[in-house]
Amino acid sequence: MSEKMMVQIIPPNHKLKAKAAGPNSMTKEQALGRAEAVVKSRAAEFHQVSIASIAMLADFWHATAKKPGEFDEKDVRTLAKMAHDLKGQGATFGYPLVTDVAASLFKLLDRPPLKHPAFKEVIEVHVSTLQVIIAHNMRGDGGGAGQALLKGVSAAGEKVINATPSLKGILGGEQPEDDEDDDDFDRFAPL
Amino acid sequence: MAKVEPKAAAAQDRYDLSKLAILVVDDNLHMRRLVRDMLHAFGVGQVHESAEGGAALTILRQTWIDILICDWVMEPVDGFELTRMLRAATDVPNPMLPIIMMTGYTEAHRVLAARDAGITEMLAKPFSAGKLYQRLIATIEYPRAFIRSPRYTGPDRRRFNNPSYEGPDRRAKRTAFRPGA
Repeated sequence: MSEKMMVQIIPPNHKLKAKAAGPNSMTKEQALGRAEAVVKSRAAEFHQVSIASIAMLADFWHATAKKPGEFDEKDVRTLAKMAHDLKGQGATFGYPLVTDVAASLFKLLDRPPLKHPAFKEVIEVHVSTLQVIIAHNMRGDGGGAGQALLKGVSAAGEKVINATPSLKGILGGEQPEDDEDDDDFDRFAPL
Repeated sequence: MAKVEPKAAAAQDRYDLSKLAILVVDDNLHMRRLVRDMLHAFGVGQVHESAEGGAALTILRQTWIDILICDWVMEPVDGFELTRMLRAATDVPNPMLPIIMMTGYTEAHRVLAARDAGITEMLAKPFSAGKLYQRLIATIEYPRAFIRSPRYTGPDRRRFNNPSYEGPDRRAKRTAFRPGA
């Protein structure tokens, strides 16, 4: 039997839609209102979690930076994972500026220019910036001061990355040369 | 009087999610609990939790889960591997369930890799309650055909049916399969 003949196409069913019709229904506005109330009620907890996450990253970085010799790729991978987690949780927990700075740090660590003389210094700048943001509880975009911080760390990261092209992705494999960041997931979604 | 035709494919504006069972998999405890609490706020009846893919697969073997929401980067079994294992599993009661992948990876090549592993929807981190709700409703309102082939197992990667398409039908020799038929 040819490969084409072995393909099975199982038609879509509407079981989930049938399951989602019942007496306890609520509108989108009602559902989102309840969820946003949950997020709001946990602002203090998210602040503490963000403080702890950034402290953990800073501690790990400072311990790594003190090690003699070249960077261990495993340490850089761990740091990249921490930056990736911060990028994901920052804005969800009310700190979009943390997301932006962590994204810049992750971009640097995902294709680490280990030999660049300023690599260590630029990581340090990112870590210090994250500590400043959370110490001053800079929510939202952080205003003029926050944006100035972001502009500074992003420029430093880009400068080091651009000086060392075609590096290997440390968490996600090789980065195609023509690939660019694409935050518009909506083009994959039907709504 | 003009006859009003019912809109068979129209999206509902109200949902009762109390009969749904959803599994949330994320190694970040606080993120996992936030998703859990958002789902409860949406009215979801059962929310199961797991910190990584291997334990999640055990739950999926033992429990009927309607929708899986999982993170990508986890250890030892990440969301990517969990998706592949689930789609290939023969001992899971609902291997065709919709999978919403939460991830901070937003580059196009990574999104396409996740799609090719068999995920249904992507949810970019950071996300809001609105985005989570949107993806949840998308899985309910727009179910897709499920493909089983030697090279791919998962929801139909063609999201849109174009009735005016006039190109070659590369699925001309397909065989329709219906469970239980």
